[in-house]
Amino acid sequence: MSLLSLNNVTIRFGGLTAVGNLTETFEQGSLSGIIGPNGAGKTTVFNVITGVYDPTEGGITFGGRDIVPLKPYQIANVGIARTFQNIRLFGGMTVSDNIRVAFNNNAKSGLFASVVQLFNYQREEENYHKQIDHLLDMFGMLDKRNEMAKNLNYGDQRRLEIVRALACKPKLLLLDEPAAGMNPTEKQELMKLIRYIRDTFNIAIILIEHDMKVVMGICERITVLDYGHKIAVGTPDEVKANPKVIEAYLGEPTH
Amino acid sequence: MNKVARPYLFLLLGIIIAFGLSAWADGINPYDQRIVMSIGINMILAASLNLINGFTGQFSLGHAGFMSIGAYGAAIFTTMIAPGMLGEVAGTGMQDVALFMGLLFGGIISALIGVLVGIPSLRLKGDYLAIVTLGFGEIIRVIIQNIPSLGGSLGIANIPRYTTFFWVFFIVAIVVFFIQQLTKSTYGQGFLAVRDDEIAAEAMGVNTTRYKVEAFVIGAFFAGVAGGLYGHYNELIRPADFDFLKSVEIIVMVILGGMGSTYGVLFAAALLTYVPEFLRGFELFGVKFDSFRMSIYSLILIILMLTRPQGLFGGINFKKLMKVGRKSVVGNQ
Amino acid sequence: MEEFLQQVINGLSLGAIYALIALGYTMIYGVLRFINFAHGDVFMVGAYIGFFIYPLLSESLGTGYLTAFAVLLAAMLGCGLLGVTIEFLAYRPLRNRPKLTVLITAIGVSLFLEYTGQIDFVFGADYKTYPTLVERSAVFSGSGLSLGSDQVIVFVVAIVLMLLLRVLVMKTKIGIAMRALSMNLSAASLMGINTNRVISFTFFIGSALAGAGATLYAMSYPKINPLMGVLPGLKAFVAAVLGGIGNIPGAVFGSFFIGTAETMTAGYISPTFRDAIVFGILILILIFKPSGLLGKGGVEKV
Repeated sequence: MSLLSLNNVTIRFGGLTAVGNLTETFEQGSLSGIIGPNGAGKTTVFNVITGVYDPTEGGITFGGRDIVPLKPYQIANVGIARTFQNIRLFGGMTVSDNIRVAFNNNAKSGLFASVVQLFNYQREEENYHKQIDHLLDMFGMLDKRNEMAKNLNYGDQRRLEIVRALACKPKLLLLDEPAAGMNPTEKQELMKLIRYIRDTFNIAIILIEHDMKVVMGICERITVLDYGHKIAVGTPDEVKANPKVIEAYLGEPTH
Repeated sequence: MNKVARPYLFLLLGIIIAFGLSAWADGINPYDQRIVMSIGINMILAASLNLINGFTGQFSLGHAGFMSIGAYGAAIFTTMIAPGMLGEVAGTGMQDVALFMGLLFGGIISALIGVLVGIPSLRLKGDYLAIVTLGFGEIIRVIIQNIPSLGGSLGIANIPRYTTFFWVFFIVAIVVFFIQQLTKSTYGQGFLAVRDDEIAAEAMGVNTTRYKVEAFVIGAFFAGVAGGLYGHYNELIRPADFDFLKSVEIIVMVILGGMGSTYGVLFAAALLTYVPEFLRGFELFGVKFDSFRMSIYSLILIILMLTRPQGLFGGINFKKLMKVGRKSVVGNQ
Repeated sequence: MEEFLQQVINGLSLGAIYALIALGYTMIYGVLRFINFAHGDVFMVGAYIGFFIYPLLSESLGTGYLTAFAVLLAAMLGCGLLGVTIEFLAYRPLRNRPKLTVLITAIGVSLFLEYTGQIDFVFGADYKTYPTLVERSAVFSGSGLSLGSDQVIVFVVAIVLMLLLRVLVMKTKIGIAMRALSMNLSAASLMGINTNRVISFTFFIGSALAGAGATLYAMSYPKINPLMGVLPGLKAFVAAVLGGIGNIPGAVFGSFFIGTAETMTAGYISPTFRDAIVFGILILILIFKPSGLLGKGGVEKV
């Protein structure tokens, strides 16, 4: 069974069809990419998977479960985490607290236990901090633990967003333009990082990316969207050779 | 010091201070007593609103409405319900029990109304939320005004004076402890996440609606308790005491103190309660300051927003400041 | 039936005054996306301008329509300048700051005008009686209905001003600039529009309309005091929200609705609930259709 499947998903905003009749599946542990020209509806696909928008038509299942009726936070809790195109960190919180937010939903200590802070609370809290430090250590950010998120440099902000998403213990990670604004060296590192995440955490990753080197370099399977419709799908080499894809990116050949 | 013990020591310290103030109360004149009492009550109001505005980022302009519900609830309890349950309590040790139950009663009713108001309004954001909470505050006032058994616009008089310095500052200590602990906990990070970015918070599994309503309800509860304390000190409550201006007064304390900084907000509450009283007696060019002190108050608010919108203490990391201070001392040696 | 019609007439004439105030809220919201809390107090100042200038004007112009017209113009001009000044001193430095900072500043300005107005040597906290600009007479009365000359004047002035506003917004260059700003402020500025000038102008027009509203309001309800702007201001604001804030025809529609709802409540339920009903409407509308009856909804970009 596929991890995530979109069945005939259509999203309309007023008269505009942002995504039309999209059917696609993503497998456990796969590394896939969604590409397409500006305005092709890539981010909209992410938004509909994570429940920010409801599909106008069609269904989405995750691990066999219908997730369309779920609210965004519930979808996060069933195992889909994401990053955002325009970074959305909790700017006024420290790096460590940004990650700590991930634990709030499975915290056994509720409101009053969190005020009293005795008994099991301390043990639980220590456990969270261990996990946070471990994650930060893995991504080389342990020394920035107590910095305000808004004071981090751009690359670290992008990285923190990924760490934060991983702390939610997802089965599927959605990365929205992770390489945006990075220089070639940083992009190289990012590609290594994404592969490393997939292998270490054993999760599926879908990324939206404009940088073809990044997408072609790491994705096993690529879906191409144009004007909200799927025009091609396949391995990087297949997609690269597909005339429809070339047309979508370069325009119709003139005779 | 132990991480677990420290907040409790602070709480204990707060309770000792409350006892100390209580012992001191008899020695001071009624005018000063009233100021100190108002400072304490405003601290509770400001700290509780700070949970909603400062920590959770939901702009509420209806805090005085919740205060009034608590004030009326507590007054009804001690004047009508308590005599039946406890008998004649005034002057005996039982009056504290009556007050405590009255405060709880008022606070809980206020919290329940908080749920009722919060669930629909908290779908709104920013200035729309501000307006709708303002509207609810005003509606609460108009409704109370139109209930004859609550005294209409004349309000309820002859409420027994049960509120003491101890009670007020004991509750200040409790509120501070509650909010500090909560906002430091893992669970409490949800409030701050909602404030900083709701969409990202949802994407991380935070049930933003629940956090918002919880902040609103806790804030309403403590505002109700503050209202109960106010009524049992003032002996008289009228709907006009809890109008829009009172809500603005509380919000200004939160802003001046720096949203999200509990101690800053406490200080601002004390400052903004004391300074207008202090200025009352002043004269300038033969004109009593009293007549234009409120005008200056609003002018200061504007200037503050133009120059330091984060408040007097907002954005200052006290821990860091102290560390830097220590380092520079070491460096000089 | 007569009573009902009478309430409709009263409601519409009250609504016409609210409309003049609501237009200011909605225009300012349109260009700056913020609620000018001080708008109701600018309205209040408009009433005092009439109060103070009438004796001077009636000395040279006598009493009559000409003086009344001059008072109206003076109130409009005075309020317009006040609005521009407030924007320049208090709001302009806060451009691009968080909305709530601006909102609090606006509350500060509102309190400042109210408290300063209450100082003895400014307006004084007590009620003053607004001069009778035009002798009141019944234009029509019979079969239980009456239409006063003051109501006719309210309708005529309000409608003329609204039509002028419509021409200004739709046909003139500055009107086009205003509309451009309300769609996208930064794009408008990139297109070479002097945004600060357009914003000042919007404040001038919006506040001047409040000044006109104040003159008409004080003619109908001649007891004025420094807090008189609070409730009409809030109600006009509700009207603007009801019609979809930022939407000019919506504000007019909302105002007539609120005015009528208010007089109906006062007439048929209880006068003490006339204020509560307005807030009740506000809350319902914000909860069920925050974009207003005629407004368009916006989606936050993720």
